[in-house]
Amino acid sequence: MKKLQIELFGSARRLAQAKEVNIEVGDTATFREVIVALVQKFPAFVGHVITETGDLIEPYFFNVDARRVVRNLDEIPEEGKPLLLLFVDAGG
Amino acid sequence: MKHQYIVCDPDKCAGCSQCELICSVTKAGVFDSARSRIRTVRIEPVVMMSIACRLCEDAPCVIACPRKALTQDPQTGVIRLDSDLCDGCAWCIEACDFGAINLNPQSKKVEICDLCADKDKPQCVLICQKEALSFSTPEQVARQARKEVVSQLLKELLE
Amino acid sequence: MYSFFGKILHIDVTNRKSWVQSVTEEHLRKYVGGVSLATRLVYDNTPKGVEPLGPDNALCFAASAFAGTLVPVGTKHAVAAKSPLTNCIGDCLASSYFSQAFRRAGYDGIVIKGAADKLTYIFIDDDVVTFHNAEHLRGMPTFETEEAIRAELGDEAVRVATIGLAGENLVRIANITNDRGRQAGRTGLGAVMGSKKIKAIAVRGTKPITVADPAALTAKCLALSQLAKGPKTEKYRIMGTPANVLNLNRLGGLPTRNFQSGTFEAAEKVSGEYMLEHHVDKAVSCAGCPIACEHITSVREGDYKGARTSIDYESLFAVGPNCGIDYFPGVIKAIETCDAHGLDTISSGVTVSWAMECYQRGILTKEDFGGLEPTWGNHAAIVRLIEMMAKREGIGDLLAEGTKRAAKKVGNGSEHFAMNVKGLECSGYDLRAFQTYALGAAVGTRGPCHNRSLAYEPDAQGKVDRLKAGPERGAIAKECEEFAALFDMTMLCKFIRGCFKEPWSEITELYTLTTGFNMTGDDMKAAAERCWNLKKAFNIREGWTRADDWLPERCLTDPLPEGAAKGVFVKPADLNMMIDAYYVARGWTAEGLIPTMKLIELGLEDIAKDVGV
Repeated sequence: MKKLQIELFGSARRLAQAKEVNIEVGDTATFREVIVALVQKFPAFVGHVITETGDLIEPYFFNVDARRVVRNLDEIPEEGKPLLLLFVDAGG
Repeated sequence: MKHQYIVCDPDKCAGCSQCELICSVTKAGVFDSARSRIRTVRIEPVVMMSIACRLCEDAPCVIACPRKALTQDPQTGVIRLDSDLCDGCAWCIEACDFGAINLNPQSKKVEICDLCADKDKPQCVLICQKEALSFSTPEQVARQARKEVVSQLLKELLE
Repeated sequence: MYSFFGKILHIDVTNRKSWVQSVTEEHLRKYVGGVSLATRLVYDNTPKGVEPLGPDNALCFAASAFAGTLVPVGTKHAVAAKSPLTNCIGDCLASSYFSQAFRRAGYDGIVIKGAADKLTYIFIDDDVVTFHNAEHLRGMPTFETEEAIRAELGDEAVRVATIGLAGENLVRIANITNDRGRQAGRTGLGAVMGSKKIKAIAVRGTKPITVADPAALTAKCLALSQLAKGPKTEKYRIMGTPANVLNLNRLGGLPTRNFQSGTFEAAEKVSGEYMLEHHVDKAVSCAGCPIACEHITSVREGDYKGARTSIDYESLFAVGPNCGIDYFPGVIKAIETCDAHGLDTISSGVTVSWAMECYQRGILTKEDFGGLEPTWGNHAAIVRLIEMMAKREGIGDLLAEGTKRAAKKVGNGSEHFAMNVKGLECSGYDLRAFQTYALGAAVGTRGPCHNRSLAYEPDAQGKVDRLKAGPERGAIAKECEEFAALFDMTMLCKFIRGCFKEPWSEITELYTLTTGFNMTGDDMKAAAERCWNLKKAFNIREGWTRADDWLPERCLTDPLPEGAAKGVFVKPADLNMMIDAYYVARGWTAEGLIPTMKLIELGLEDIAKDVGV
């Protein structure tokens, strides 16, 4: 098992009522399993941050260490690197 | 007991006035707020609400019309106009406390919400994305308000 | 003709005359509307080398085919002129009831030239144009002016676009305001209007808008409106664009203390989340919008009790983290002050922050500020400086010129941190942390504009490595610009862009159902390319050279000191490389000039004669 720390922004933060969350997933778990774990913890994410079919709703994305966006949910997250669940907007 | 009419919740209304445009295109085939039977009021920056005919009992407009051009349907409460009799005197407009009657600028006959008589449901309610508009009776409005306030006051019990 | 009227209203405010020019369907198809049509009007109605604050500059308004129809988020208009801030094309978008009103008066565009002898307001009452004394409105805040004119004309249905004190005083960062909270904000168009001594333009339009296929359009609009209240627009509905504060802060790109850093230690206290919890009264809409992103916020107690305004991310960053402000009521008061006087919040905040850094570094002293001590976070000082800018009082007279001119005057190294490109102040994304956008900001025709460029999206979404430059960014920046132009010509708010699967064809279809112009997605793409080349051609005509496509010195030498983008800056060689690639992608010469063949290909033969190479 590996422990992952995920910082939450926007609706994710609002619905979880938390700035970050720690989850535990299998060693070979991909970001898809991370999404499943998040939905288990926060069912309210569905329809706002996560689709019914387990994808992220645009414009949300996972970002590793604030430097790199996860382009493929089949990627395997590494323990020890902070993850962000956020989006960026057109400033008004 | 009053009939179903178009109700607007000012807490939800964001003042977009799309209700005006769908009404005018439905009734007159053009986008022209002057041809809409529902009208948005915006008192900047936050007071917003749309108003359409409220199907008053003993409707003042019906009573006021000197030519008896307005009648009220006993079943639905909808105000009906006999356009042959209407001469655009606007006395009914002055009688209506809600400003729910308007004068067609071309024909000079009055226009009043008829709950989209020729459609299966009021179009303004359909277009309102804030769910500010609803097609309700006063009893339904009061019931909804009671439910919301009770849910809010006792929300810990609901969790 | 459906939707459009085929008419441009010309107003000569010197001689108090007006006349109507007919435009063909062919012309409207070519320019589509909005920013493209407005730019064409400026090009055609100004002589080369026109003085921006002189009578020969043309202040042009252009319509959207969608304004006043059921098309959601389509009730917008464009305003353009030669900018007194940049000497390039200054093109703006604004929205809501004014956009509908001048259309319903029967015009697709308005061109205003000349200069009145005393302060005037113009009243466009369908076909009748009259000129009214506005001396009694001098100095009046923007919203009060609207209300005063409505009362004077005796009709609540009159819509008004107005300048505040800043526009009257020819402040180079002054804006034009309509419907209380909507602005044609950037590039100093308020000063252009002020130079013509026009306090306001009032409109009453009673003509109905017809569309080519009302039934099909209504059905499409219902479907689109329903999508527009779904999860794709949730970020706008919940707290509006201020949601960006914490996101950008975490990514290390939130401009802080005049772009000295990309991370603000007090970001939580000036975040959208904080705003939502403590200050939001209600979210309201522009005319025709089902999203309602405009968050009206107020101060309920304390120093600035009663201050109230709508808050967007850009205004927030500019007077918030960018000025080191960690006190939300101060942010609200500063924005309200800008709005009342008709000042662009972005340029105001970034000009004040420049002044604050001058104070930090001892380049300007307390005496220069007339006794004020503009330390980082001093919100009272910021509000005062904004007032002084609007009034051109004390140091406000210097700041009213914008960062480029002010830094040139003050010198002493202050040019290093005058955060502008071509004279227009930078908006709320640190360019070092988003390097595709750095390119877009350098080459953008009106200056560094996230809205015209959209190139921060591939950066933020990780389609490229945002912290590095690369030659592929040239083509990417071009594609982003043209996608933006799709919205800027048809005049759809960009906040709906997530609701389309195939935006080019879907939006073209909406346009066709509205206007009856049978256009394809490819026609629209060609129009978008034409739009960008037209804007560039105007700039070239007015003396633009490649040297103007550059970045503030800070971005090229100062690495970000902390945060997720720590250590990053834009290397000049990289910037040149990306600009080269962009010119190639655009089919321009190495100097960024436009080949004659390219202009002819785009149907701009007459312009080819002026600037083609």
